[in-house]
Amino acid sequence: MSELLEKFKPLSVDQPASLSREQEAVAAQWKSIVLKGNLANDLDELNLRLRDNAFILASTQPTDTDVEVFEVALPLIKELTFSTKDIKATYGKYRHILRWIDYLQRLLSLPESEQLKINYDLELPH
Amino acid sequence: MSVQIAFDKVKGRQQALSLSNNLKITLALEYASKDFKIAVNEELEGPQLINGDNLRLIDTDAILRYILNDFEGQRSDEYHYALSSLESLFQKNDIPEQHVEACVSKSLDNYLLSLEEPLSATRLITFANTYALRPELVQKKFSELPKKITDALQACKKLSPRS
Repeated sequence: MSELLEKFKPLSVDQPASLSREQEAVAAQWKSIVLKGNLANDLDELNLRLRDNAFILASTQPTDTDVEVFEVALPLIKELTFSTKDIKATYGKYRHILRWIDYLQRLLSLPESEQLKINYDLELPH
Repeated sequence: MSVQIAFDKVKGRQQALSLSNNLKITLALEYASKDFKIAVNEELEGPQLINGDNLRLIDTDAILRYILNDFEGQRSDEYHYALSSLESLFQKNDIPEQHVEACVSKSLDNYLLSLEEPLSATRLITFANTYALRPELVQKKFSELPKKITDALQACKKLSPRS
């Protein structure tokens, strides 16, 4: 189990008692994408999923799937925001992932040095 | 409302990637549980599965699991190997032949031990990924494939007209 997942388990976050067939499929999809090492190519899809749902499995609280994807998404998004010349465009493009990262990095109490510093004052295009 | 499914027709992809994606979809159609009607949608950009407004999947491993309603074995060594060692090869160009052969041999020796029915989604995924990389080695090991797999392979061949 990953370090972050170990950190997540003891937090008193209610997990859904059981997953629907659709949630199982979505969980399988993101597990597969992470294991294949393909998340960088599917960030748009992740952003779309998080546009319509607070968390990946459309649950009201984060699940293991969120934590497992977050672990890989965080460095990717950090890299994208560091290397971009147009920070507004990058924020605009991945705004839903950023919202989700903002929440999870605090929930998991990541040390400040490891967190993504989010600029809340940027005015984003609609 | 029926479930819409679309094949991988994206151009310029690695051949092994398209083959494994489309094989998983034809296998899903062959092995589908009878819970819902599945319609192949020729218009959609694939690979993709859509079930009303509720669900859209773009990953063929998840599509196969959803259609079969089989989510077992995702934490097994076999599944990890099938994805992180075999499927990850599809993304890359210029992989040394020996490396691919070594990965395929390891799959055949350690995981793809039998194709006896009933086959799990995990085993079908291992099969599709191994076959897509080196069909001839899989054929050599299994002189006789289960009928559903043979049918899926045939359906898959029809999808990709030779250029």
